[in-house]
Amino acid sequence: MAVVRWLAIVTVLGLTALAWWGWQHGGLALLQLGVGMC
Amino acid sequence: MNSAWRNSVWILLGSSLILAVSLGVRHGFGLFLSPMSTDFGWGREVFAFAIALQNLIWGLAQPVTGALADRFGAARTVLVGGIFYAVGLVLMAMADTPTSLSLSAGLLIGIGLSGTSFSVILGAVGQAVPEEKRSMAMGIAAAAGSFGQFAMLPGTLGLIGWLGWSSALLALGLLVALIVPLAAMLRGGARPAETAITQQSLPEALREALGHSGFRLLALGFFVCGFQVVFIGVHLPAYLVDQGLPAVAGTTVLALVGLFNVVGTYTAGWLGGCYSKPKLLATLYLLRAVVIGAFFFVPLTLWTAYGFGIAMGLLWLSTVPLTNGTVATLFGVRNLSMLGGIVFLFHQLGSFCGGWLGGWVYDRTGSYDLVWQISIALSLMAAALNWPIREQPVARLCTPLRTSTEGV
Repeated sequence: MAVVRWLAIVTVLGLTALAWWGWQHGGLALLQLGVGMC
Repeated sequence: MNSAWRNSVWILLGSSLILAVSLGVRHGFGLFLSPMSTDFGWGREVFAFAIALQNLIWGLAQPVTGALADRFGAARTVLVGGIFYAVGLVLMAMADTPTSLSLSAGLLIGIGLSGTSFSVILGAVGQAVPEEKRSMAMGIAAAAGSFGQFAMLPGTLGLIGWLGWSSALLALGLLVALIVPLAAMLRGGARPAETAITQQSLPEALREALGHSGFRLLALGFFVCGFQVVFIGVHLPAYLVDQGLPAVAGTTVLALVGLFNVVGTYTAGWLGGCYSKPKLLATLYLLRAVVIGAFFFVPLTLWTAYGFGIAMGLLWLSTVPLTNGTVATLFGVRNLSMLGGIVFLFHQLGSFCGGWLGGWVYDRTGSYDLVWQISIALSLMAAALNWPIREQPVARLCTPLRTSTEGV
């Protein structure tokens, strides 16, 4: 289980990093693309 | 913190993480429409058909994967669902014909989503936490899924820009593959005491639920939720442009929906632990009618559109913890994933109708007015359907309880 716990922590950090990087680099472009949220 | 409580927290964390990844990746599929269609010279209908098929398969498979989760455990179901989802993404990255796209993005990912999203995950949460905390716990997990939808979109867009659409899909496939080991987090929860006295065969559980007026009303009400969110999600940007607003307004409004959805979903789950969930659902649908009515009848400006996005965001997926929580209260948690899956099937049928009817009516009348009016009427109908549901467990659950430590 310890491995899974570390994996969970890594996943949280990875998702946070991806979201942060995405908002830094692609957030504005996203607003111009026209993406539906449903 | 005792062991049972620690297990519950662990399962809630795992559920939130899996939902955030599963729904977050799924939410970015629209970003692949343009690059894939352009690269292969397809019309938009090829990609749109694959995604429509995905939604339909997701809904149709949900009662089955829910039943598997109830019988063999959420962990195993999520593990298999994660494999389907990841393999589907890898094959989607290699798809070069409409058929291979439909089989990967439509069939495999549709099945994968049914194994890794709301009904299975909320079923595991419902079984892992005590009844008095169930609604709030479902609200937290569903809010995490909502946050994943909001946060992952720009990351997906960044990956497409950086790696190209095919490699971006492979990267997302790797991310989704993490669900496979993370599924282990859903194991080991102590089932609530009531499960020991509620052993039912699958046909018995189905018969009991389908013969219960509250269950039928709940499912019909959830149809309306699916209808509205997909109609608004798909057609709102075009509607705003039709009304003379800039194209960017549509995406800003939908981003506001996504952001405030996180707040609304958590708050609804929390309120569901304090007040009657069917009454809250009725109020929520009534508020949707008021918000959509105001948006439709009041002269449209950029600011009324933003206000609509915030208000609809607060009411968006807040139906999810309340609906699943009501199913748990009525029938217990032994078959929660399957029964939640049946209700979700109605949501997906509503989704299909909302997306399709919006386009059909627009093509014939040149406006969305009729669909907005239908949305308002459906909201009022859903409020009327949910109001009379009595949040009272079925008689079978009202017998003396015994304890059980059977694993989830």
